[in-house]
Amino acid sequence: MKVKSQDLSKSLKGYSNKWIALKPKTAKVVAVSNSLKSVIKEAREKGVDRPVLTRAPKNYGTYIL
Amino acid sequence: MDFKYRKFPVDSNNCPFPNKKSALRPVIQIDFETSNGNFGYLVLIDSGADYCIFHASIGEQLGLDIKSGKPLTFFGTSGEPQKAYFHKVTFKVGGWEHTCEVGFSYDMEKLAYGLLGQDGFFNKWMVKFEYQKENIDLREIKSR
Repeated sequence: MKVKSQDLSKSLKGYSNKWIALKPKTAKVVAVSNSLKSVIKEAREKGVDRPVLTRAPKNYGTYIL
Repeated sequence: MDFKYRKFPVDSNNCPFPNKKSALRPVIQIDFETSNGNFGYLVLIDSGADYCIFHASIGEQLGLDIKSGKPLTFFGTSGEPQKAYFHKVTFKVGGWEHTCEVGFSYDMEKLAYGLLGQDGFFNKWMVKFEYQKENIDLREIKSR
C-alpha cells in the first residue's frame, strides 16, 4: 500500500534561520522564532500544547550528509 | 511501523534540476515528554551518521547541562570539525519509548533536523527505506 508523504515544501518555504513550530497532524506552521524557547511559548499561547519543532536553515538547501 | 517520508522545500536558486519542486526525505517525528511540557521534533534517519546528533537547543529544553556531557569532535562532508556532547535521553518513536545516547551540538544550527544514526538508532531498529512508496518501515530489534 502506498503511504502518502507529508508535504512541507510550501509551508516551510520562505523561512530562513528560524525555529518553526508545527501543529501535529496538519503540520500547519503555528509559530516562528529565532529561539526554540520562544517558538514553544508562542505555539502554546496559540493553543498547541505539543508543537512539533523543526528548523528552517538558511536558504533551505540540499543535504549531502 | 510505517512512517511517511516528508517533502521539504528546495532552493530554486541552488538546484541543478529546474523541475525539482521539493526534496523527499526520510524525516520522522519523535516525541519528548518533559516536566516543562511535551513536544515533537523532526529527525532525519541518516544511515551515514555514526551517532544520533540533535540541536543543542533541544537538549537545553530537556533541562540538560549540554557541555557536561561526554564530548565528541565529528566531521560532515565539509570536513570542518564540529563538537557534540553526549547525554542519555528517552523519547518516543511512533509511541514506543526509546532510550539512547544522543550528542547535542551547537554546530547543528545550520541544519533543519536532528540525525538518527547508526549507534543509538540503527542498532536498535530494523530500518527499511521504501522511497518509491514514500514509506519507512521501522521494526524494533527485540534482542536489545
